[in-house]
Amino acid sequence: METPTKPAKKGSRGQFWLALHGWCSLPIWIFLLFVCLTGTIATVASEIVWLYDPEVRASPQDVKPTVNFDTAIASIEKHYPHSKVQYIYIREPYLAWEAITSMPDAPRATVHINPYTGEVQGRTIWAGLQNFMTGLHGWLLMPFSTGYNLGWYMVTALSIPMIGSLITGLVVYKRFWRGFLKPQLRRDKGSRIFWGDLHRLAGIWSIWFITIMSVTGLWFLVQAVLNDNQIPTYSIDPIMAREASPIVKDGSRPPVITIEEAFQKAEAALPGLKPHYIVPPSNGFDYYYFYGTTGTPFFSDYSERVVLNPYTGEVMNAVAIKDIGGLEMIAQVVPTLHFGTFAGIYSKAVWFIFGSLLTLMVASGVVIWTKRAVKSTVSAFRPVPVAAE
Amino acid sequence: MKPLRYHPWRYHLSIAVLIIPILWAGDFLHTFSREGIGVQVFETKQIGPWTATLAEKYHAPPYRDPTGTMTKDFAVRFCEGCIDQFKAAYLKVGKPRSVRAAGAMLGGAAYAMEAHVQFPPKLEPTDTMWLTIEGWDGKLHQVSWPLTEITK
Repeated sequence: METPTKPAKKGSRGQFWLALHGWCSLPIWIFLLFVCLTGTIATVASEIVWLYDPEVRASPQDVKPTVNFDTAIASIEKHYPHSKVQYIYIREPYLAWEAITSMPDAPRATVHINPYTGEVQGRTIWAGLQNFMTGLHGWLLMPFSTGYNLGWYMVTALSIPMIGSLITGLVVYKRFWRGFLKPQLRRDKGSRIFWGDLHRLAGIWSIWFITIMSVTGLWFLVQAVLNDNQIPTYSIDPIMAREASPIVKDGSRPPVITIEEAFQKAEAALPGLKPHYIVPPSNGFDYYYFYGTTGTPFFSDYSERVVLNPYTGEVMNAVAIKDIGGLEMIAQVVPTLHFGTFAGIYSKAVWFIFGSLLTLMVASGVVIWTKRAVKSTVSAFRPVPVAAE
Repeated sequence: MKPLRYHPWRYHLSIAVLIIPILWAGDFLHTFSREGIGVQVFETKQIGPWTATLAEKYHAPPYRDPTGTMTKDFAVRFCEGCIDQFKAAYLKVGKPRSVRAAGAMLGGAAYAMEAHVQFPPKLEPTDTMWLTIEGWDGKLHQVSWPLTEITK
């Protein structure tokens, strides 16, 4: 190819690479487009809900530090009698705490707690947009039983053609770095030229993003293969011994420490721990789990944790960044890079914009191919060249 | 490598992949609905001073877990406010002989406690699902359901 817009000469190396570029994604383009689009929406799903549902909002500027967890739990139990909190998500300072709570009339309702007042702001009885989009994007909503499911493998396998598209795209687009200096987006030369320019322009500005997405996506595939073959990418917590769970003669429940007491002990064990995911015991042999971060940049919000015995308050396990090994370290960094969560709303916004561009790359690629193919098919039957449409 | 020829329909076939989320969306959304205990709910039974309802979690046959064991997911819903009145509960196909062999321990959402239950390679018509409750006092309570109407 002489210039990016001229079709490759027959039999040239350029034509080979262009064909290879097409083979990387055209046969699966609808699936790829779907995954890029749902992933882009998933990045900002919680923020989308924030826009339309006041129940999920929290205003940190309003006041003071966050409330005591006991206050939050008490207000849920008062609001919804006989309910039991299964876990609590603390996502962003501007979002209400999400307490996934089991209630007699809804086994997995999400209760929205104002983190600064402890008030119940409402409940949602459905998966929620964030869960739904994450599930749609990441594993096609297939159920997880043990191990990773087919949907997860199918989606993560897309990282391979995506790496292929990036490399072949850069080979086909000769001297692509000139595109940075002389960006061109011609709107007056017909739609094929326009879509071609757009595809290349978006492409070069997305090199870093496509690299991150495909490499982290490939890791998610590797992670599934490792874990499904008994090579865990996470460290395992101790399980409560049968003898450690007290036996009470009269059959009543033994006293347990409260969630706030447990959190105080967790914080003492791992100073500076900001909890993001809290799991209270779900049966008599279960511990309290506090997943969070002490603030190491680029590590996930759930990369550090403290596990506590609810009967004695004893710390059973405390895992800080310095305690985690190689594979687990990768597993804790990759999600923040893939989801763009490392700088809150700011990085999410950037990820959303480039995710939209990537979605547009798939769409524009298909448009170019269709127009080019139509043209070459038509010209094969006509001796005279057709005009650019 | 030949360039892709213009066979539009062939390159749009990947739309078939979208059948997967369409098929599974129902079960996914059901899990978080008011009736999210499972897709097939069995009879509610008395067990000690409590009641329990067994449910089949997904419309899917037993699967092999990563260790090679045939497994199927079930859930149990206990009576209102009963969950903290006993220590733990277990599910097993076939009658357990002791609490140490009581099967898979239930955990998770209080009103839809779940377990990955080990499943026989071939289910006999006489096979039953046993729920064992272990009280805080260590006493055991048991009840069973026939497994004839399960997705095999």
